[in-house]
Parts: sequence; structure tokens; C-alpha cells
Amino acid sequence: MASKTRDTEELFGFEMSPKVVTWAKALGFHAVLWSLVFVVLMPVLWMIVVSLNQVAFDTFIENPGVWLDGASLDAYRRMLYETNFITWFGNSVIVTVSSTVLSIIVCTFGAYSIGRLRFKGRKAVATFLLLTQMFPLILVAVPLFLIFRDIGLFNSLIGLTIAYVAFVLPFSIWMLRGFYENLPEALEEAAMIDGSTRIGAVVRVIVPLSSPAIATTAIFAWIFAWNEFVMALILINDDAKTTLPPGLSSWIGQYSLQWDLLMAGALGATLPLFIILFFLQKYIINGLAEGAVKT
Amino acid sequence: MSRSTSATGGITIPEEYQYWLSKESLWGWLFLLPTLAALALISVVPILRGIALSFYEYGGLEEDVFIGLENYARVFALPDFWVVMKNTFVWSFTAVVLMAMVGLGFAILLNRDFKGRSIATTLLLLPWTIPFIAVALNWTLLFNYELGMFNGLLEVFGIQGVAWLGRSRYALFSVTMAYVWRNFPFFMITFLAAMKGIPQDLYEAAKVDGSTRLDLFRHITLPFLQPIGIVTTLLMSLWTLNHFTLVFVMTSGGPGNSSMVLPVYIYRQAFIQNNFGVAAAIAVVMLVIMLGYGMVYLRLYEDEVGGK
Repeated sequence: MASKTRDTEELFGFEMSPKVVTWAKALGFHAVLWSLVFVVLMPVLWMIVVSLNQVAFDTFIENPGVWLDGASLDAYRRMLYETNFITWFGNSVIVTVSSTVLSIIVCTFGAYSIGRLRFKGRKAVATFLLLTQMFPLILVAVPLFLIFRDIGLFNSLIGLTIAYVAFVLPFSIWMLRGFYENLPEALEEAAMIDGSTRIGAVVRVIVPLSSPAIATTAIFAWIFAWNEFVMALILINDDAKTTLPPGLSSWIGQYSLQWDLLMAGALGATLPLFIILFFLQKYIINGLAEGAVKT
Repeated sequence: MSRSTSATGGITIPEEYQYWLSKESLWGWLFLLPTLAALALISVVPILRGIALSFYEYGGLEEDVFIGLENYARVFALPDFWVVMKNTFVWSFTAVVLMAMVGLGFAILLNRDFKGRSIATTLLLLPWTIPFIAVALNWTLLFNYELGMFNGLLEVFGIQGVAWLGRSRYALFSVTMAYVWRNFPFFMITFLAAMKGIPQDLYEAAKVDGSTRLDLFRHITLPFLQPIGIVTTLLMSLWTLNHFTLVFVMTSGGPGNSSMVLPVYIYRQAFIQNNFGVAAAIAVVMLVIMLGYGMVYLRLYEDEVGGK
């Protein structure tokens, strides 16, 4: 404590009581932190402001009242009734939900195999999974377009779903594997002695234990599928079958001056992920701590 | 082992084959089967097809014609190609370095006990949950010449604004800013997760020894963050090299080719110019770069990554 008082004396030229120092430090910290948070969130706030009433930034700063007078939900009404937004949203939900569910099932068993079973070729597969992360997505996408066209998966949400499952698998398995390696040994052996088969042991013992980690991989799969742009752009050709990202990007040319509508669309596309963040945040943070960190 | 011999009815199986009949290996491959099938269909086959395509003149409805290395010769002769390569490198490098720095800064701020910590973490994570398409629309507006926030802020200080996305000097940098804003939270949470794993008594002991805050950071925090930092940097560089949406939506690579990066360039070669052969050749060059980068990176940091 004595040294702290000396610090402030050197800094400010007079002595402060330790209590005041702690208090001033906390105040300074909170001031810095929360103004940074505000700066980071400004783009989002601005998105909300413009979606309610299109306004120039300097006009808004000088006279927010003008903005408030004209604020309405008209852009959202136009988005819902005069555009394809709802169709695209529905397609995005279909592809995202089905690819997330499928990838969780496939990745649980894959990660279990690499993380807990000892067999030849295990390391090779793990290395291969890491390698696939180094494949350029676009190198896959261009030939995939030709292949899907030939086998009739072009322009279909099923084809897109299969592609998304395959794309998230390597990262999901890599993350979940770390978690499985840290589970105590002989967990499933105990269950198998009780008469369960290997699959039964995985489903009844390993899956419940690893549900937080599985939730994390599910969130990543969800975020990937909801965001994915190139594949949807290349593999879907029909406006009624496309997902939100390519759909909304077509608005830039079409409604280039209707920023309120563009921002309403952007917020509409963001909503499902906001909801996920607020309810499942701890799984993102803890999951990364337990899985991905321990590679 | 003994069980597998008895199951075959007393016939002795040579030692080296017994392994392959063991249950663990059978289950291992069985559980991996769906994964490997999906990857074969969606990754391996298309990549092989892509590599093959790079040696052919794409004929559309007609037969493709084998032309050897002609596509590669065309690619390296394209003046655009080298501009795009430079842009891709500049964009990935700047973005990753900035994201890591901003992410680390916020992780340090959040890694202490204070009221409102979880709210602050949630709010700072928020950009990462915004889909890239929404980020692209949002930041196109922020960079807008007349309505945009940045020019509005500059005007407050009496500085004349610029057309951020319309000037070749600023376009790529503007897109980079949007990307960094969207993705720094990923670095932030991974660093934060790693910081939670540092034993607090290490700090206490060092403080007793009279270490300064900076010493603590350099000698305790940083070494603990290194392994996760290395993995995150590798993943993030690969993801950034692959990134398509922001460039495609905000600038389409323009003005001219000033903000063009490889994925968008390849897409345009294939689907706008209908040049599938050339597009495949550029994509193969990109594969070589990414594999090379990944391998060298992993080799350099083998120990930190765990060497598994």
C-alpha cells in the first residue's frame, strides 16, 4: 500500500489515500471500457437508427428530433410484404437447421473415434482433417458446381445442406476431439461391461457428458451455415430457392438508395444469431476454452 | 486379442492381422465412415476435378480439350493476377494482425473482476454474431460518401470526407476495417479462454518478487497465450484467405482491381468470364499457397501446437 501512495505522489504531486486511488482507478477503467464498447457497437446502433428512418449522420447528430419525428417501421413492412425476404429467411432456416443437426450427429461419432479410440490411421485422419482447412473454398466450389449440375443437386437446398455439413465437419471434429481426449478413461468401458454396445455407450454415456462441447460445435455449424455466401451463390440459381446472404446482396443494386430497407434486411438476417448469442454465450466461451484451446 | 482368436474357431491368426480384427479399430473406422464419405464427396472429388480442370480448355456443352499447362501460362501472363496476389497478401496480413491486436487488447481489459463484466463480454462478442452479408450492407452505408458515419464524423472535425469504397487508394483498407470489426471477437474469446487457464498464484508469486505489470504480462501472460494464439492465427489466416462476402458485396473487387482478392477473382473468371480452366488454374495456385503456408506454419510451431 505504501508504494501505491508513493506512485500517486510521483504522478500527481500530492498524496492520495489508498481508497481514493482504488476508486479513481476503477472509475478510469470503467470509463475506458464502456466508451470502447460504445465505439464497437456504433455500427450496429447506426444500423438500427437508419432502418427506422433514413438519415445522414451529421443531420442526426445536429438534430435527432427530426429523425425521431420521421421514425417508423415502414422499412420492415416493405421488407416483409414487398420483397422475397421471408422466402430467403425460410430457406436459410431450412439449410442451417438441417446442416447443423446432421453435422452434430456425424461429428460426434467422428470426434469420438479420433479422440478416444486407439487404432492405426487415426493420426492420419486427424492430419487430413487439418489439411482440409487449407483447401481454398473456391477451389471446391467451382468443380462442385459442375458435379452438382451433372448429378442433379444443382439448385437444390439438399445439395447445399450436404455441402455445408462437409464443410463444418473438420473444424467441429477438431474442436470436439480435444474435449473427448480430456474425459476420464474407461468411462464407456464401464457402460459396456453393463451390457451396452459401443454405440449405446457413446449415446448414453459420452453424449450427455459432452453436451456442452456439442452445443459449442452446433453453434459454430449454425454460424457457418447462416453466413455462407459463395456456395449458395454458385450452387443455387433460382431466386425463390436462395438463402439470405446472396438474396440480400442482390438488393444492393436493386434498392441502392433505400438504405432503410437495406438496414432492415441486415438486421432481420442478424436476429437469429443475436438470439443464439444471448442464450448460449457461455457455450461459446467455455467450449473454446475446453476444446479448441487444447489442440 | 484373445477374444478375436477364439471367435475364429481356434484358427490362429497371425499377430499382424489380429490388430485389424480388433473391435477398437473396426469401430474407429465405422464411426469415421460418414465423415470420410462426406469429405470425399464434397472436398476430395471436387478438388481432384478442379485440378484436372486446370489442364483442360473448358468446352461448356462440348468436350473439354486437354491443353497441358496452357491455363497456367495464361494465368501468369495476366497482369491482373499479380495485383490480385498482392492485394490478397496485404489484406490477409493486415486483417489478421489487426484482429489479433484488438482481440488481445479487449481480452486484457475483460480479464479481471468487475461489475458488468459478463455484459461487456456479450456486447463485445456481438459483432462476431452478425452475418457477413449484414456487415457488408452495414459498412457500405458507414462508408457512404453522403450518408455515412465516417464522413459524418470527419465533418464534425471540419475534415472533408472521401468516397471510401470508390477510391482505389482506400477501398481494400475499408473492407479490411469492416472485416476486423466483425472478427476481432474470435481472437478476444480465445485469448480470454486461455487467460482463464493461467494459475493465479504465478502472478502472486511474481508480484512478491517485485515484478511490474509489464513484466507479468510479458513473462507469464504472453507465454501462456502463445499456443492458442498460434492455432487461432493459423485458422484465422486460412479463413481470411478464403473470405469472399465482404469484398464481393462492398466493392466487387473495384474500383478497377484495387480491392480484388483471389476468391472473388476466381469466381469472376469462372462465372462471369466463363473461363473455368483459368479459374481452376488460379484456384490450384491458391491451394499450393495455402497448403504451403499451413505446412510451414505448423512445422515452425510444431511444439506449441502439440505435435499430435
